[in-house]
Amino acid sequence: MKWNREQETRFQRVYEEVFPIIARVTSRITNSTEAAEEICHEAFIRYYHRLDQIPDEPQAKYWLIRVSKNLALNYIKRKKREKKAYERLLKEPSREQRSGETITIRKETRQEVQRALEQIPEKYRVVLIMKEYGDLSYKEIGDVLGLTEGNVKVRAFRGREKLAGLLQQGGTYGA
Amino acid sequence: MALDSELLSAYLDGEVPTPWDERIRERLESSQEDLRVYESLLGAKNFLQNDRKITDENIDSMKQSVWESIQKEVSADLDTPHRGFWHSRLTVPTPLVAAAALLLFFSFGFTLARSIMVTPGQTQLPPQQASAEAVGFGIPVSNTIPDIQTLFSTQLNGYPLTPDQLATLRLLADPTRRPGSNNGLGVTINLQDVNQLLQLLQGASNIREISIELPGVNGFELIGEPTLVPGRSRAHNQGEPTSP
Repeated sequence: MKWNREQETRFQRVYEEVFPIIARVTSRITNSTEAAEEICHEAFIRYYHRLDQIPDEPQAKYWLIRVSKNLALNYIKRKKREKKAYERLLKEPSREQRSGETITIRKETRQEVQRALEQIPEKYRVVLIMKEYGDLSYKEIGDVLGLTEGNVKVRAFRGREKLAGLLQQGGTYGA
Repeated sequence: MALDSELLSAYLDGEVPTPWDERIRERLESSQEDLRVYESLLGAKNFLQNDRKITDENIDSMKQSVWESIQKEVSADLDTPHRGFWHSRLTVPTPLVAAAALLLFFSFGFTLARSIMVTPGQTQLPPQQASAEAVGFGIPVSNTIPDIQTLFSTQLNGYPLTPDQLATLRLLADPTRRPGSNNGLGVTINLQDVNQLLQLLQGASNIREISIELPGVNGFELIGEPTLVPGRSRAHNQGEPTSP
């Protein structure tokens, strides 16, 4: 593919604006910086090949967020399948390594967030992550996911309510 | 009456427009019940915001790393020469391929059938398919004659031919002759005994039809003791004609 100066500039602008959003969102969904990097790379390469088809920058932003969100969800589904297969193979559940010396507090915090979010239904979780990590408005989230603003508002509330309930149960999820 | 929890969640997200957000703020200062719900939702928000701060620490390095990998891949793509039409990948639906294969198969079969079909009235036959007929001794020699001149040079299947017989056979074997015009033409070869007949027939793969006329005078000799055959003798008694 050949791209002209205008396309190159547009690509850079979109990258500057959108990368932090999809990096945070995919990092949270996958709970892995490496996986998030791969997903961001894949999403922008796909965008590069569709520069002619997506000339509008806001549309490019929503398209990139949607693609990277789907890639991240596919990633965790694949990981879950692999984990189950691994457990079946060994016939015992995998134990998480939580020895305090090897794992930092930050990692532990992230694991707690991950465990809490995994208990929230995906349709609420995705909206909540986009809101908290992507700084997207209800309208933008609706544009990305194909939902109305009202629906996004309800889902954000349901997700947050569920998370608050988990935190109030105490134990693992102390804020 | 307590505030709608969804409204409080939207207020947390800054999604409540101006006149209403002020009223909600005032309400939270006066209502303990609303404040409790609000703080619960705020706790969930802060839980994620704290985690987000950890994520943000890696964003710059991620951004640089991914940008470099994208640049590398894009540069490689730009350096790749544009592939022309003949190198482009063409996707053809399977049903179309099957239909094309069937069409090709039938058209090929039809052409092949026409090419091998030989009609009786066909005049321009290739030399390999020429035929000759002979009446009397009767020969229609046909099928894959390798070389007519060699075949009829001096003899037929090892039996010596006279010049007249040779000329007749060459005439019959001429590929340019019209089929069906051989009526009445033929070569009659007189043989002395059965051995000569066998010699003539031996290796006569090119002869399609032979008529054998036995001699009029019975020259057979009786070999062995005569025996009576019941069926035959009854037929003789009834006067039915039998051929020798």
